Amino acid sequence: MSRLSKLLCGTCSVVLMAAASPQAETLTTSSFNMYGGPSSLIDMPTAEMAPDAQFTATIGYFADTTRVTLSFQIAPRLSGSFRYSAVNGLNIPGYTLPTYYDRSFDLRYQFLDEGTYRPAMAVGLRDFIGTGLYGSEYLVATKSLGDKWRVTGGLGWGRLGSAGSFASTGTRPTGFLGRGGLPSLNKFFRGDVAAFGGVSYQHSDKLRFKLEYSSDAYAQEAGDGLLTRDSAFNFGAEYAFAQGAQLGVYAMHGGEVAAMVSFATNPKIAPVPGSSDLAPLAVLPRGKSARDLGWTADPAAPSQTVANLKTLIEFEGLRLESYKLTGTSVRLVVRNPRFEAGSQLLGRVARGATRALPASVETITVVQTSHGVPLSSATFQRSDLEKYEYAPAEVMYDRMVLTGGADALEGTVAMPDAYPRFEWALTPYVSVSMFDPESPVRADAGLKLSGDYHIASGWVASGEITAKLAGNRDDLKPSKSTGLPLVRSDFAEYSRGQKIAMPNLTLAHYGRLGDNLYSRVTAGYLEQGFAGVSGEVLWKPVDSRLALGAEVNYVAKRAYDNAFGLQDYTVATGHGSVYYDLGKGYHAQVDAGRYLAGDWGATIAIDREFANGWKVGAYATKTNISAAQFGEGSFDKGIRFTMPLAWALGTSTRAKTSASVASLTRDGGARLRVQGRLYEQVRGAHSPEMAKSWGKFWR
Amino acid sequence: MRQGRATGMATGMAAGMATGIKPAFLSAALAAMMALAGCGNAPDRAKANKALAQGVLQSVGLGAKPAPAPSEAAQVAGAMAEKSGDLRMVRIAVRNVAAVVYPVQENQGVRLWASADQRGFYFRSGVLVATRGLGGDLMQADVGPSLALVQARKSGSAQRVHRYLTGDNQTDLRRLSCTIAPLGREAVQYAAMSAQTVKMRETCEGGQTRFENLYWVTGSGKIVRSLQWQGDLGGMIEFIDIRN
Repeated sequence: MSRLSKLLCGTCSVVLMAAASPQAETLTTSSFNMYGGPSSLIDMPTAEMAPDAQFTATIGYFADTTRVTLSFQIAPRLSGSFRYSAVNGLNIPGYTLPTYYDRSFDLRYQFLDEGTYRPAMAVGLRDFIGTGLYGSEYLVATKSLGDKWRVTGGLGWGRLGSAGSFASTGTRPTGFLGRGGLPSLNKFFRGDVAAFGGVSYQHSDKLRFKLEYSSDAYAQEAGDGLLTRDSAFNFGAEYAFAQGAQLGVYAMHGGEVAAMVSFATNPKIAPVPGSSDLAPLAVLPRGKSARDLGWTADPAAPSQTVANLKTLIEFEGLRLESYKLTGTSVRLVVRNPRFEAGSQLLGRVARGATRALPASVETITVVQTSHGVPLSSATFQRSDLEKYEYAPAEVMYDRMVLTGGADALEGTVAMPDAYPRFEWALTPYVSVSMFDPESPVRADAGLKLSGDYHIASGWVASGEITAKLAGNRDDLKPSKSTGLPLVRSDFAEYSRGQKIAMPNLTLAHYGRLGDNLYSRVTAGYLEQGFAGVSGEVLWKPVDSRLALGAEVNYVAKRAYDNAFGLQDYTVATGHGSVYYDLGKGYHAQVDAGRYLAGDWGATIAIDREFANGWKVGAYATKTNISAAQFGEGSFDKGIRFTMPLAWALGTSTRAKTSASVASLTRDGGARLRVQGRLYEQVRGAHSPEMAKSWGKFWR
Repeated sequence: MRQGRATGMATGMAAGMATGIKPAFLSAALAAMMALAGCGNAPDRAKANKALAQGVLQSVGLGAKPAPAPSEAAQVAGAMAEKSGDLRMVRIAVRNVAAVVYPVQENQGVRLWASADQRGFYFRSGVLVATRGLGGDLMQADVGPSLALVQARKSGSAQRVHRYLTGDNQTDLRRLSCTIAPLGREAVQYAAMSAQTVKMRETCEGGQTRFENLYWVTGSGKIVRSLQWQGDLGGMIEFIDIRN
């Protein structure tokens, strides 16, 4: 390490001579390099970050290599990338296909802000848990000179130390390919060190020029004849189109042409901030009108009031399930098919209620439900609604009384149309499998008919039928046996030769077991692979950022025809879960227990969550099977994201779209995919979640 | 109770003020790749999918075009024939739309004026304090000191506070320092309204926000015409009373 620290000080001394600036801030760029990371250079990294929370997809092509990268600015100073590369003609021992496919992850941390004279500095890891094709580490400094120029210099190890190295820090293990999936800690900052650098010039809002000196020898690619590396210099230009798209064209290493396109979007910046939902109903102030209870003596008045309440609640796209109306108070039990933000539901129902209720009713309670189960109960004073309709939203937050509402249904009168009811939808579907080396993207497409029969409050029967119209997912070859029971790795068998399938057919009951306790029992064909019984209990106080859950399932493996048959594998599986809202938009979840193959272990997931419903996160599962038995990837891990459609559409809807990019589908660390897990249903109506979007109360 | 009565908003008026905001192409396309249109009676998914598909088509210049709005004169004539009482013309220059609004509710000194297609404009004595349904809505504004000077047709300085929502539902609070000054007398005439006014200018600045509002104020302090900044999305919006 002493040699390393000396080396670092070579850079640091220049840096530290410069006075620390009091007005430091994270150095960001809208540009990307061929590896998809934020960078004002071409193939080399810089110390720059993307704007916080920015999501970027880049596709770069160069020397028979295509790199598709998804990058996310995890925090203002921390950037992460996931990359899928296809190298045509790379000669890897033991690998027979013409194109070599490789997955890799990068991280970069900007540990020093830019100052007046001081550059921003960052440390980064490329391909740090993959097979090591792009494995490299770097320390880099970037300084902006005026608005237009950026200058970068850095030191690289691994690939970034492979050309023009001038020193060495220890011996870098040369092991190249393996199962991958584990951080190659013994390689980090070891071996030959080389310097790289470059400049960029922002000619206009649209046009940028780049020049760099590369320390990547491209030894393997050059050896296999993919390129000739005549020069260490790369240069090129980039053009920015509207809506976050960019195109870059570069001349690389003396004779190669490279091109890259990038697309950026940011969950924090919605196309329509605040949504373009139509105007809400206005509060109808009572003024000085009589607040006597005379109306209660009129037998027709209460039913007319309820009819009006129902109309107004439905006008806002919500449904009244039951109510309790007295001379001075009303309790409205409401179903929410529309609003992602519970605050917006509360604001709209409360305002609508002021237009229908007799003047003597002062207390308005709104109960949010899911599957008929109360999730929370929010009580407002009608005079507060009248008084603060045009005040900042937080005033009403302070005046709201929010409880868990375990007994909120007591004494209520059910609306006759609430139960039973049937909901159905016919939608197209696409199922995608990625990362099969013979065909990196496979997909099935078809139609899905789904139906939910809500029998009574808390009871729902659900079913789904899919008809495949086209696809090639069933061409997937079964993966090599690892000795574990086949619980996930044989997923392609479920679509082989099948046109019609029944992914699930269940009967579920949701309920409350106590003040802070929620329950679910689901029985039937729970998911594509398994049928059986699933039970869950969740402890979640209404004002708590912590929740605890327990789930126990006894399931049998379903027959490959996805009809009613079963195979002879049964397993008891289940987890204890801890959910914690870490604050500042971060959320952690730990599940520990027994997985589908009978293996024991735990899953850790960290998500960055946005108040508008966007989530971006990563998870990893380690169980008591060895990395060798797990197979490629060593253990199950992945990244995932959820996009609320309301964000893209600009109008309220609870529909959302989720996707995850995971390791190869293996049998170890696999969880049952039962629908209707409680935590996500419950938390949205609780105060930690509602507070995040409270500004939507008067929206 | 019908919807129209519930909101106090009449139906059948020919005004339209669709926001005209296209979803950003990238985000819409991203969503469309993963979700396609469908049908059913389940409320959220199928509807959202349909809207998305339409959004994607519109953002690349395909799909159903919204029906052209009737001319401003036709809208004014229609509204005057249909409604007695106060009427106001709203012109949103950045979206090239105009519509008639009329008062539907008053509370705490704030009067809500709404269009037939349920966009809301909230005024305190003629000064805009909120909008709803435009996208990028002004959620709330404290305008008291500005309003007092404008109504009195006096020059001076005043503080404003505007609240918006960000794309991540956070309150975006903007404090603005304003100077107010009379620009001289001007007669205003529009449809069935005419008035002798003093034209007032309010120049506000704070952070990245800068705008210049104009008000035409009668001798009794009534604002009969104004050009007011709504926010980043709506820009400057013009309001003109249709009747005295």
